[in-house]
Amino acid sequence: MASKLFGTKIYLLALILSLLQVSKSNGFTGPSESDMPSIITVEGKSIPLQSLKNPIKKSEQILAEGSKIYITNCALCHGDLLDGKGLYSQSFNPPPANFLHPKSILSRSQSYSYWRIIKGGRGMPESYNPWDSAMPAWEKVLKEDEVWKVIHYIYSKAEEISKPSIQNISTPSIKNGQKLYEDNCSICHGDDGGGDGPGAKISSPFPRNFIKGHIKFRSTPFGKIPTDEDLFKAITNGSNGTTMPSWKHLSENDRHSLVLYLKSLSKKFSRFVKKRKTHKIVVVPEPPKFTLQSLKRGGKLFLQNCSACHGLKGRSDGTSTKKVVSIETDSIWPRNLSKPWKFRRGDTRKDIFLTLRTGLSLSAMPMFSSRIFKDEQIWDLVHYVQTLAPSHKPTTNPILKVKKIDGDLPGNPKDSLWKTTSSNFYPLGGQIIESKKVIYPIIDNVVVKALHNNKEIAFYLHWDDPTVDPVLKSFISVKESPAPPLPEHLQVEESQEVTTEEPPKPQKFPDSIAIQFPASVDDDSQKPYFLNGDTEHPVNLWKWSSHPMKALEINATGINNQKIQKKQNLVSQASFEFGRYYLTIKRPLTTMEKDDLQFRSGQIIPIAFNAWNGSAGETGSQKVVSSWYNLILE
Amino acid sequence: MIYLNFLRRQLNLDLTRYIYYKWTKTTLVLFMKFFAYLFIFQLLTPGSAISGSIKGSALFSGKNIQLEAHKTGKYKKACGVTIINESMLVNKGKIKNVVISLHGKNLKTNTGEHKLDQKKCRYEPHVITMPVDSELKIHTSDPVNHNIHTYSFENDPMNIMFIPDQEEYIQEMEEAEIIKVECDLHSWMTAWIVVTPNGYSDVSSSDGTFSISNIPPGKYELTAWHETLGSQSKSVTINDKETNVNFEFPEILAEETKK
Repeated sequence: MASKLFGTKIYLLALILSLLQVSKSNGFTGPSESDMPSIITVEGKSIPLQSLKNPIKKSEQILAEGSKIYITNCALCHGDLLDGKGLYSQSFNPPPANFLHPKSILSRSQSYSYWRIIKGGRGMPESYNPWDSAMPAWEKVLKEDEVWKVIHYIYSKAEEISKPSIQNISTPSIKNGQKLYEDNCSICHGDDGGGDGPGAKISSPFPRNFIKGHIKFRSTPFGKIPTDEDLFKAITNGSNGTTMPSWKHLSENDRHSLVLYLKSLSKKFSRFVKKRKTHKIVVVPEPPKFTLQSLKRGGKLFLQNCSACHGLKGRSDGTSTKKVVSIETDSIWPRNLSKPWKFRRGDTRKDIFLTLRTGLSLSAMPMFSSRIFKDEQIWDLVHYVQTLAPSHKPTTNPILKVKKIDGDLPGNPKDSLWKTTSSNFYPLGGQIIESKKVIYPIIDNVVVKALHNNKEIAFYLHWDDPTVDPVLKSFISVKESPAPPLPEHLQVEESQEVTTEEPPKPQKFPDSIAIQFPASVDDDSQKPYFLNGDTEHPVNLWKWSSHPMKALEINATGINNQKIQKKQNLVSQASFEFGRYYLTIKRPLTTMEKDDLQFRSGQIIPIAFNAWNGSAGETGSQKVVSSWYNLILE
Repeated sequence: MIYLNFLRRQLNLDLTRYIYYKWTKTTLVLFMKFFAYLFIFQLLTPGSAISGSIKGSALFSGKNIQLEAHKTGKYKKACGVTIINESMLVNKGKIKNVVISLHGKNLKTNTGEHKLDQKKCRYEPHVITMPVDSELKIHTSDPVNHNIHTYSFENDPMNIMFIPDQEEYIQEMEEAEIIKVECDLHSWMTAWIVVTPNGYSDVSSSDGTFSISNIPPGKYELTAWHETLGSQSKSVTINDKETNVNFEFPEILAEETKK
C-alpha cells in the first residue's frame, strides 16, 4: 500500500515537473521587467539598471561588430536566426531563449537584456529558484562595449526577422541573391563565398566553400555539381545538427535568387553549361517491403562494405575510422548510426538510400553506384542500418526513479539486472563559457539507470565514444570492431597474426565521466550553479577516468576549483564495447564525510553530468555538460 | 662592244621577264601547292619540321633515406606481407617519380586515356601525369574492397567503392591540378595524379631520367614536382636541338618523408 501511494506521489510529482518543463520550453519565460534589480554590481562598479541606456550609438558598423560577437558567443545556443534553435538547443533544459518570441526581448528594455547577459542564469531573483538555466554570466568574458554592441544587434535582427515576410514578386536575380547573401550568409560562408566568415570558427563541419562548388547533399553522383533543386532544398531545410539553419522564412523567390548567386560563385556551374553537360540525377525508387531476408542480406553487406568506418554496431569505431577523421581539416566523424535523429539529410528510408547512392562529397563516405549494387541491395543495407538504432528517439524524463531491490546491487554494467531497469537519456552540450570551449563534441548524451537497496546506490551509465583509451585493454573487457571479413582463402590465421606488441599506452588525456550532485539538499538550500557550483553552493562529483582507472569523489566549488576527497567510498567497474563505454558506480547511501551528499528515500535530488573525450583533447574545463535534472529514491 | 653589252643586258632582261612570266603563270600555282602540302604535313607530324626536346635527370644530393615498408597485417595473403613506401624512391642519388612538366604559350594538349590499377593493395602506377581533357580509366585487380578517394578541388573529386571483379570507372580530368588519391580502407595506399595544362610532361623513371620531345622552339618554364621533396622550376629555351636540364633536390628532414 505504502509503495502504491508512493508510486502515485511520484507520478503526480513527475506530472507537475513535466508541466513546468513544458512551460519553460515555451521560449522566453524569464523574469519580467519588474523583477529587475534596481542596482547591479559589475566589476566592482554599481550600475543602476532602471535609468540605464545603451551608451553606444547604433550604426551599420556597430551592427556588423555586434553580429560577429553574436555568432561567436551566442549562436551555438540561441541560433543563427535568434530562434533559440542553435546547435545546443536540445542539449540544455530549459532550452535557450527564443528572441523572436513575443514575450521575449523585443518587449523588454535594453537595460533588462544587459542585466540578463551580464548576470546570466545565476543572477536570477530568489523567487525564480530553482533556476536551471545554462545561460552563463558574461560579465568576465565579454567587455562592456561588446555587450552593448551585441544588444544592438539582437534587437535590430529580431525586429527584422519578426516582421512578416514581404512576398518578393520580382523574378529571381543574381543581384537580389547577392544582397541576400551579404545580409544573411556571409557571416559564416565569407564575403567571397570561401567558407571563411567569422561563424566558421564555431562550425564543424565548416561552412560550405562555394568557390569550390561542392555540396554534400545532392541528387547527383559524388563530386558532381548539385542541381538547382538540390541547392534550393539545402537553403530551405538547413542541415540538421550543424550551424546551418533553415531559411524557410525567406520567400521562395528570394531563395531562388540565392541559388542563382551561389552558382555564380563557382566556375564549375558555368563550365557545366558551356560544355553542355546534363545532370545524372539519382532517382530514389519506392521502397520495397521490409523482410527478414532483406535484413539478413543487409547485415552481410554492412559488415563487408560499411563496418570498416561505421563499426560493427554503427557507432563509428571501425578499423579505418581514425584514418578518415581529422577535425582540423574538416574530415568529420562518420555518422553514429545508432542515433538517426542526428542524420543530416534525414532518417527516412529514402534519405538513407540517396546518401548511399550519391555518397557525401567532401567526406570519406563513398557512393555505392549501380555499378556495384542493385537497388535491391541498397534497400537491404537501408533496412539493416535502421535496425542499428532504437525504434524511437529516447526521451528525457525530468525525474529519474531509483528502484529499490533486495540483495546486492549489480557491480558489473553487463549484469542482466540492468537490462530490466528503466533508463533515462540525458543530452550533453559543449561547455562554452570558460576559454577552453568544446564546440563540436562527439559525446552528446549519456544513458543512465539507477538502483538502490537501502544501503547502497548504484548507477549504470553508457555513452558513445568511438575511441577507447588503449590502456584499458590491459585492465578491463574491451571489444573493438573487427576489420571487414576477407574471403576464406585470403584469411590469415590467428596464430600467424600474433605479434609481440608492447602493452598499450594511455591516451594523453583520459576519457572521463562525472555524475554531479549538490553537496547538500537541505530544504532551504539553493541549487548550485550547474557548472560545478560555487563557494556558497558546492557540488559532489563522482568522476570515473580511464587512466588511472578509477572513480573518485571530488568536491567542487566552481569549474576550476576541485578537490579530491581524502576518504573515498566509490566502487566502479567499466567495460568498452564497439564504440560505447559502460560503467557502474556504487556508493553507500550515507557516509561519514561532512562534504558528501547523503541520500534519503523520497527526497528529490538534483543530478547532472559532465563528460570528457580525452582523445579529442578534452580535459579540465574543456568538457561536455548537462543541465540539472532530478532523481528520487523509491 | 657597247652594243654587245646592250644586247646581253637586253637578253638577260628578256630572260628574266620570261622566267618571271612563266613563273607567275604556272610555277606560282605549284609553289603554293608545295607550301600548302608542307603546311598540312607539318600539321600531321607535329614538330617534325623544327622542334626540340628536353632530356635530363632528377637528382638527390642529400643522404640516402631508407623508408620502412608498410606491413599489411591481416591482409598479407591478399596484398603481400609488405608494401614498399613509395613516397621517396632514391637509388644512387637518382629520384623516381618526379613529375616534369613544361609550361608556356602555344603548347598543345592531347586527349587520351590513362590507366590506374589497384593491384596487390597498391596503385599502379604510383604517379600519373596526364594532360587536361584526357581520361583516367580506373581498374581493380584485387580480391578485396577498395575505395578510391581523391582530394581534388578543381576537378570533380571521386569517392567510389570498388569491389572485386568490378568494371572500370572512367573519369575526365578538366583542370590542371595535383590530386592525391587514397584508399580509406588501406592506410598505406596512396597515388598522385598530376593533371598538366598540356601534353608536354613526363615522370622520372627509376634511374631518375626523363625526356620530353617534339617541343616547338620557344621560351618556357620547366617544373619538377615530387610528393615529398616539393617543386622547382627553371626557365628553358628550346631550339631545334636537345636541351639538357637536371633538377637537383637537396637534403630534407626525415620527418617530411613520413607524411
